Amino acid sequence: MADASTARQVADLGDRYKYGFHTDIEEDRAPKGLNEDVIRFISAKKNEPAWMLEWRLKAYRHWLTLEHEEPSWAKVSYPPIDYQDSTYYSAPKNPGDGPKSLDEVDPKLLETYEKLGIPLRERGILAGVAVDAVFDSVSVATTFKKELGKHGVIFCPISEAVQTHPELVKKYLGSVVPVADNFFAALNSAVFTDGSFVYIPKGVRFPMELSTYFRINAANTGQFERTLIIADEGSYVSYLEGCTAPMRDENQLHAAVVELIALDDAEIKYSTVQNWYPGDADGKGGIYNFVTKRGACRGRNSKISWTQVETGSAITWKYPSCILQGDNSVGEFYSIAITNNMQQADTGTKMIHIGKNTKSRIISKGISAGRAQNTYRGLVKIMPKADGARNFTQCDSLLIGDKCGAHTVPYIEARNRSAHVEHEATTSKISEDQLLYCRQRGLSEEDSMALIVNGFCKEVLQVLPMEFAVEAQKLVAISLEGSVG
Amino acid sequence: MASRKAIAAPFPFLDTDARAWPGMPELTEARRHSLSRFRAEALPSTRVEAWKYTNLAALARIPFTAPRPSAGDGEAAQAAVRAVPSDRRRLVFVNGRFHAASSITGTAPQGSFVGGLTQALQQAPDLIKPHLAHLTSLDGDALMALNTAFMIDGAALLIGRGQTAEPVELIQVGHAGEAPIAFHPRHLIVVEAGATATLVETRTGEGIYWSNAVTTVVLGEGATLHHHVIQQSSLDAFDLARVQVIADANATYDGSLLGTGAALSRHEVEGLLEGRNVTCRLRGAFLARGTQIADVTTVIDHGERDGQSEQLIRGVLDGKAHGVFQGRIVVRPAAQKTDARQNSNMLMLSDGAEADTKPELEISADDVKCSHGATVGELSDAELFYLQARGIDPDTARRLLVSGFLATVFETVSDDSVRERAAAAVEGWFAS
Amino acid sequence: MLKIENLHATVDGKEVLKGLTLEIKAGEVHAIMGPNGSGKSTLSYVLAGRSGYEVTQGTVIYKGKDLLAMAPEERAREGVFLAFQYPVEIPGVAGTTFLKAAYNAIRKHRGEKELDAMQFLKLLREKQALVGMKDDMVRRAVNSGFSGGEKKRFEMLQMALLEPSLAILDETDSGLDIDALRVVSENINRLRKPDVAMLVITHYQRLLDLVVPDIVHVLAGGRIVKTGDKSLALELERTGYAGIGTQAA
Repeated sequence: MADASTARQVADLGDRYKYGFHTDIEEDRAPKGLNEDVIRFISAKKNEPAWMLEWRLKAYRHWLTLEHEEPSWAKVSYPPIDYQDSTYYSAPKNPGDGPKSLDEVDPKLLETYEKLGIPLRERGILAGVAVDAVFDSVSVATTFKKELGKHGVIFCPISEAVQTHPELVKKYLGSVVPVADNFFAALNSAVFTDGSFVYIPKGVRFPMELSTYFRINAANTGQFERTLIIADEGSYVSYLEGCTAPMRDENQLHAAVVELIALDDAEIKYSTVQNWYPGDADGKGGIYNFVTKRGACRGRNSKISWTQVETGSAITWKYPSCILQGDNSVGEFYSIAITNNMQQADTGTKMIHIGKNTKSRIISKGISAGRAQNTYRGLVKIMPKADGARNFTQCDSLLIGDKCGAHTVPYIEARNRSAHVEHEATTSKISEDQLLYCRQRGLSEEDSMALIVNGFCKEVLQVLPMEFAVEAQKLVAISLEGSVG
Repeated sequence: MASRKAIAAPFPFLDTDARAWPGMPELTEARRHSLSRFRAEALPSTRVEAWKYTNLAALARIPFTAPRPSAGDGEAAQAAVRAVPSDRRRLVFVNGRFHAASSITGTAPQGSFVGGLTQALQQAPDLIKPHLAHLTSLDGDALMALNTAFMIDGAALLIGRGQTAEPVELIQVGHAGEAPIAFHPRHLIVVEAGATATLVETRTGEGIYWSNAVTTVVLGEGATLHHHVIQQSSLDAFDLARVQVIADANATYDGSLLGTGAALSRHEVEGLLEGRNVTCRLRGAFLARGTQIADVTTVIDHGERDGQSEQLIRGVLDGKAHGVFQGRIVVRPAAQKTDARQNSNMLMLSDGAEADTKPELEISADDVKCSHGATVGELSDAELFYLQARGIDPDTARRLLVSGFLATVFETVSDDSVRERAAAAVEGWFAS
Repeated sequence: MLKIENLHATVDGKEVLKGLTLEIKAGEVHAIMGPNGSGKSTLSYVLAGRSGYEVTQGTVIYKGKDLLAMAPEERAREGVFLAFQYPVEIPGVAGTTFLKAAYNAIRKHRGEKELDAMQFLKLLREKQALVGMKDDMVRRAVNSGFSGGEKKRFEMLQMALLEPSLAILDETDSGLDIDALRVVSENINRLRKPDVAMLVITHYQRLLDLVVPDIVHVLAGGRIVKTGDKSLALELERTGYAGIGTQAA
């Protein structure tokens, strides 16, 4: 149930981009630019073992060979990125080895998270949500350590997991998204600075929501977090991710990698509310959100479910995918992508059916307003051995105004006779009749619009955890402000 | 060009002279230019998005030469004519060249022409000249350039303002001897304002040949063209056909395809709906088995308001066949009130078959209704069982269901003979 | 309550209302009858403020204010309710969500305290009983998959809930079976109060048997061509529109 802090969180959402503040904190930064020394610097800062540094360098050397392979197939356009003009490590300066407990965390940081509506102090925390917060490049605090320990759940910054659980990290890191997977994944593998690590032991059905909030604070930095979640046999976990960044005139790069692994009978539910700074109404500034998210349903009867509400970022390039290896495994993708003003989004999913009787379901709702471009791009692939595979896909686009675009690009590749793939897509606008009907009953034009759009998104909103659903509905309304009339 | 986006294709026929066309310097120039463009670009590889699923590498390995007239051409033409159950006017082509002896052109009224394209250039240059730009265009991909460089002939169907033309059969025969041949038919169909025409195309053949055809359809205001294609090319042939439709206000393009032939076929329709309130209906059905590759690719580009487009594409795949459907609907900012619908269904009859479908919507106007639906699957067990429970053996049941699946595609074709021929082609496929 | 004077309105550049004048006083029920294309629905849309219905001349004064200057939602909040001839489907938006948003928007406008979810549901249940709508119907998406009769019932539920001071019923009786017609007429009659005015637009006499109007107007060619008491409606039923000089326009 939503409590007082949720209510405050929601009330705070009233402003245009209320996360656009900047926190003045002394930073510890790597020198600008990217080379092997910078990678060594990052690795040293994190006190990493040699194998981790080698892994990074391997990724970096591969990335160098991809000089002309920066993805160009997405329906987005942006000026070339100068990868030497960014800073790859920025951390709030902290004496010693970082905070041991919340009391040691810089009060200014706690204040920042309060402003974001993510109270880190346990007493203010939403019931049942354990939070890890990543500020620029480092994880600042993980709450509810005790409750986690009781269940044997490991939920910590990935930099910590490298030290404390090297066998798990070694075994699974890069096993779903190989370092050579794509341009941005290779870059991330070379320079990732922090992120969350989750391990749910066998048979544990973890009752709390695990949550990470990402925030880019420093100027001229990229954020390259790396998340790794492993659900061991018969386990269950629900994980929430939220993102914000201050308003800046220049674009900032966010190239994250998320890997999920579900073993036999395990289930991972991964929800994202992405509200990075989208840039101003003329397209100045904003985050480039180039993210690789992929889950492997390795075990029989395993399930991975992605839910995303994408309202922020100047450009979103993101395809949370499922590799359905285990027999009877299930992949789901529920997405709301809203673009307004000059935003561009090219997002969707890949469902790769490898095991028998694997099932996937894709529900995508794209809303385009202003001069924005919104593309759904997805792949459903049924491999020859995937007897009895099933997919259902529904992609709906809503256009608000006549200056924006909505595009649907699904790929369906079937290599097995018994496959059953169904894809439907529609494009429409909010009708004048619907608006008038709502307004005739007393609702303002903007409220009418928000109501209708939320109705359009309902199938996705209803699979979000309660805490996020409330926030997401508000975000839907806020993201479309100024798009009527 | 050593690019991963191209397949080198040093076909022997490239060295034959691209002949000058008498009295048509623009055409001669376009051919020269197009030839050098093809040499530079070569064939598109699967790294080119439009060719992602259809690999032309096998084509590039064959030493195609230019066709020469041979003694057997007449007999091949006659055989093809006999196979078409129609006594309509007909234009017969052997290896891309007009075969006057087998053709019946009749007499066209003032302002109209029915015959071969070279013939038209000589006999009715005034009718052709206004549309010459379509023949000399330097747009399009490498295959289009190749066609422009080596086109010799094709059908010319020019229907004058307000006329209602009798249906015309276009019969094309590929007739290769020992050596594989390539030819590049170029058809020009012009239906002027308020006119109506029907063109029924049949393609058959023997041996290894490559037909790289381009059909340009120009529809004037309120014009209507019914354009039906039955493709039963040689199973060793490569049948690439591109239909480009340019439609003015209130025009209607009503097209269908039934394809069973060719080792590799691609039927491509590009509809440029340039005027208001254009109607475009596309139906496609193909059956493929063995190692056949069958590709239907469409782009319907709504440029102006109030347009309607409707597409229904169905494929049946057996053996190790590979079926491809790519269908893109584009709605430009000016094309408000567009109503665009597309449906595709692939039926897989065997384990080795592959189906690739890529429906696409690219929408830049808000007050529109656009949708696509795509399915891939096998025959329904429930339906099979139902028929069997009524005493029908499994093979017959399967045949009935497949025939029914494809017959739906042609339900809206108004020409009875086309519907019957499509059904017969499906029957023939089962029987062969 | 409502005073329309010399109203001219165009739709798609075509003049549909051509000088309509009409006054409805509080407590009165007026019926407007007329053949197809006479401008009946245009009048209801102009009063509700639908875009594309352009007023080129004339005035509409509602409770002393210029109605035409108000946005559609302001009109609704001031108590103008239109029961749509074709109620609109809004996929995904639960009826309860929609009704609560509308109800609270109007309360807020009146300076009253908004109701919370529990209070509202209690009130809604009472109103549902009046129109015979079950819980599962109001929880479904607004008008989605409703039959014609269900849509009209839902309109009546909204009217009962929002308690307007001017109700405009646009062919609310069309396509209804006898049960649904009874529900509609009961709800209209229940709302008949000294401080409420009603404009019933209809094609047929049968609704007027159940909702007896104080005044009947005949609309033809975009203006009122005849006004009388309830007997005018009966006369129309007998003679048809041609019989009373509607060709005049």
